[in-house]
Amino acid sequence: MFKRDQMRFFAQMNHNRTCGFWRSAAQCLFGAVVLALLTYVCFRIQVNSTTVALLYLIVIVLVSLTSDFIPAAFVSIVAYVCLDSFFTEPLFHIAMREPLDFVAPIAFLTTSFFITRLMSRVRKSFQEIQALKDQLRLVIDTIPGLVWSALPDGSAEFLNQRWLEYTGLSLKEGLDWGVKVAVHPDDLARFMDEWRVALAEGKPLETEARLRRADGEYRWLLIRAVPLRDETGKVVKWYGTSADVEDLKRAEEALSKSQAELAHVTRVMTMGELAASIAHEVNQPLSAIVNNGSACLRWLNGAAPNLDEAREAARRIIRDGNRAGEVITRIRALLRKTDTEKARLDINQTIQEVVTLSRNEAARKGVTLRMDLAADLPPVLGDRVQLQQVILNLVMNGVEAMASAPDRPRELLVRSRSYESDKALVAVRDSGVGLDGQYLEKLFDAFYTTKPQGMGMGLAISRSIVEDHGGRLWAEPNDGPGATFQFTLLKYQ
Amino acid sequence: MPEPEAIVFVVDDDESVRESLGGLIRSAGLRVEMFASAQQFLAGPRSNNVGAPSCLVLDVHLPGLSGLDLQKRMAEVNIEIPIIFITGRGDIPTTVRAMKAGAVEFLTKPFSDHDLLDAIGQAIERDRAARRRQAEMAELRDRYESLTPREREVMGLVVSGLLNKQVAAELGINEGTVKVHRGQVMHKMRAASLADLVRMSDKLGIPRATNL
Repeated sequence: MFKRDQMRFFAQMNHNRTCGFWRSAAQCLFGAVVLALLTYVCFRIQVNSTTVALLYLIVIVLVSLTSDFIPAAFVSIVAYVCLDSFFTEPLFHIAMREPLDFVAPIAFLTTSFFITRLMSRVRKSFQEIQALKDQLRLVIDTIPGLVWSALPDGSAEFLNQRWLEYTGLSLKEGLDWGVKVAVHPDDLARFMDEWRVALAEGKPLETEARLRRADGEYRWLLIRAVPLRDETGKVVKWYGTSADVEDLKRAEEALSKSQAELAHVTRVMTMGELAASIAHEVNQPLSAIVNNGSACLRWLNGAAPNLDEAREAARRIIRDGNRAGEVITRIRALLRKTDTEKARLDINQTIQEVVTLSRNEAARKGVTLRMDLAADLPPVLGDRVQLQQVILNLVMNGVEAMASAPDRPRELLVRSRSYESDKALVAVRDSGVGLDGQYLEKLFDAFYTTKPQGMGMGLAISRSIVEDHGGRLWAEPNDGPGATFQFTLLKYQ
Repeated sequence: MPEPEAIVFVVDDDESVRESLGGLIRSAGLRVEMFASAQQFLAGPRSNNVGAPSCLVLDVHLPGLSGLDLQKRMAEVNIEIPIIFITGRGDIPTTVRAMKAGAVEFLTKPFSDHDLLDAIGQAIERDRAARRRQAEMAELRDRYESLTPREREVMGLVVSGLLNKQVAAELGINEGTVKVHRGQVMHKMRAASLADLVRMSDKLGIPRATNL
């Protein structure tokens, strides 16, 4: 495509050069013929010499306008010869005796010289502009991107060759809101809304939409547009590019899919570590149910059945049964393999769920879990299961850090706070062995671990999850013993 | 004086389990007091100070002070209440430690009501017996305290098997006086026979004169 255009462009330039001579010859001939005809007509109707000179001048000007200097000079000389021979006394005789005889040829020549010079300048600059335009056009048509411009009302004004080739639409179709035909029906309404908003506000647009390629396949495009304003600030035009990001998007999807799978695997592994605690967590309500059941029967079986007590015991059985069910639901949710589902989320509730799940494991290692949750925390945007995994990971790390710490109060504090204006912060603070400043960032590398049976994926995955949520996860040593791991999340809007 | 009603203490951090234990124990007609942690239990207030027989149903795994820690602490500060341990995960070393330290029973959740209530009954019985023994001892000690120094000397020699004559020689007093002291001892100690007096002196741990 590029090569073909280039060749066409250079061939055109060559052609212009070789044709120069023949064109001059033709112009000389044409000028001479016109002069001959004019002379014949004027001679026959006996026009005076001044009028003829004026007519000749017009011919010379006309020839000068369309040609270079040689045909113009040639026509000027012919014109003088004709004027002198046919219209000045003595007729049919060319004489250059008086100074006045030189006025006419010099006037003809000067006029033709100036006009030719002027015209050649004008023509040259026109040619340069044309060449520039062609080159620009060539660049715009050949760069690997869809380039377009639009009027302030949003309708297309120009579409480059690539755009037309990509969509398979004709220029006419394209200019006649072809984008509405090309954009995927599912994306059209959103895209048009965004475009309208950009037009109304005059702000640059950056969005993604699927566009139908000539072969009928819908592919994701990154569409960007910026407004051009006049000196009063009014938008006069929009310039835009669209780039095919389908492959990039697919790669991104594949990456996030494998990340999700890895996250799932580590989640399952974490749950494996928690198995004993989880069993306990289910066993507690079960044993309460057994006790309450026995108590209920006893209250009913007595000589004077105590129905109030029996009812109370039955009520507790239901409550504890539900509690056991909830534990199992939570665990199943964590073990399930799901795609990321970001939604409005109460992060405090998520923290509570994780703390409930890990409290027993912590207690087994002599660690007390404490929560300090901001009551007025607005909801965040997040995937519940993934964020539970992050918090669980941080809590388990903290618990383990303290298990190997010398004797000191073992308390893990999980805090939530508002952070900056649009974020929420979750911090997990332990009083464990602490962190070595120089390894702070290494902690988040994949396969970096300080635990004998650790895989070293926990923090790496946690960080990728948090970053996928538009947040940040980092660690810092405490003033006292231990370390604090914290992450931010965007508030739900 | 009628014996105060028996009371069962329950220490478990899990509210559901704690409440269910309370309900089950009350259904057996026993009084229950519940605590969420070992610290709370130690801090009291508990209503066993009036001498009611009692026992403690104690979860092994408690946050902060564990069940086994509490058992140790109680021994240190002389709180003698029989303990029934309950646990979600019964492992042998923990069980052995608890039983060696004098636990009545070690139950793994979930357990049957009979197992728990039997253990509670047994524990309360044990406490009741211990309290009875303690009361007896206190009574004996009171009686012994009421003896004069001379009477204690006479009692010590008599229970060592010496005849009145020998006692008199040992103490350098005459036999008649020994008989009077001996009568006083039997009366004050409320001993029905010499054998009875010997048993009492054993309980009180009075050393016998053997090198005579």
